[in-house]
Amino acid sequence: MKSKIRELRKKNKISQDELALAVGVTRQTITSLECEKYTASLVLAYKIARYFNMTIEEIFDFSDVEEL
Amino acid sequence: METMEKYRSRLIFRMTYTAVIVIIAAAVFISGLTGVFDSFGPKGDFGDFLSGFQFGLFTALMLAAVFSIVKMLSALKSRDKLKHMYIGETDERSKAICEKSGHNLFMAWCYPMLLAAIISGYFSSVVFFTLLGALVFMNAVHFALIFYYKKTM
Repeated sequence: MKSKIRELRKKNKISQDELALAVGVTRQTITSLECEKYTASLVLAYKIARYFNMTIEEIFDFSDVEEL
Repeated sequence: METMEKYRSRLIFRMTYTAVIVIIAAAVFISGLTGVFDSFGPKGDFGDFLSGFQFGLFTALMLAAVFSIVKMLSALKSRDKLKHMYIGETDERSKAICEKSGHNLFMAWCYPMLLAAIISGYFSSVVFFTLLGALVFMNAVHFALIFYYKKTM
């Protein structure tokens, strides 16, 4: 899933380690999210959104999610 | 969700049973050095191999347990290290990789098979090597799956 994590991180001058520690995951998880290899859980998405003072929809792109 | 305080008490409990493992492994290690087990089981080359295998296994188990205790003690003394350890164990991607690679099932099979291999060694070398071979194969598949999912997730 596409996200603005890398963009926001660079804008706020935050390292992957700092973000990872703040949201309670490993640095590799942040890397995977930024590379679109891994889709965050709702809890992690919420934590990341809260960290950047944004909503989940503002950070994660749900346009690819198929509706049944 | 688990708090850090709950995790700390869980770590203390884990450290206690790891210490029990160290004591048991040390007892087997010392018994192996004094040659107590030499009178049991098969004789000859296979007997030497079996006692060497068991001795090596328990030595590795003891060293791993001691290393684990040292790591847990150091984490209990520092809040930063405790948090890093907690994150390492509760990271959702790592959990997803474990689930996909069937880690829990692997662990549930691995230990009984290892125990069965050790016990069977006293009765039949064929059964021992068959179980050992299956164990090596299972390990290879498991680590290949973990490697694959780490690369793709």
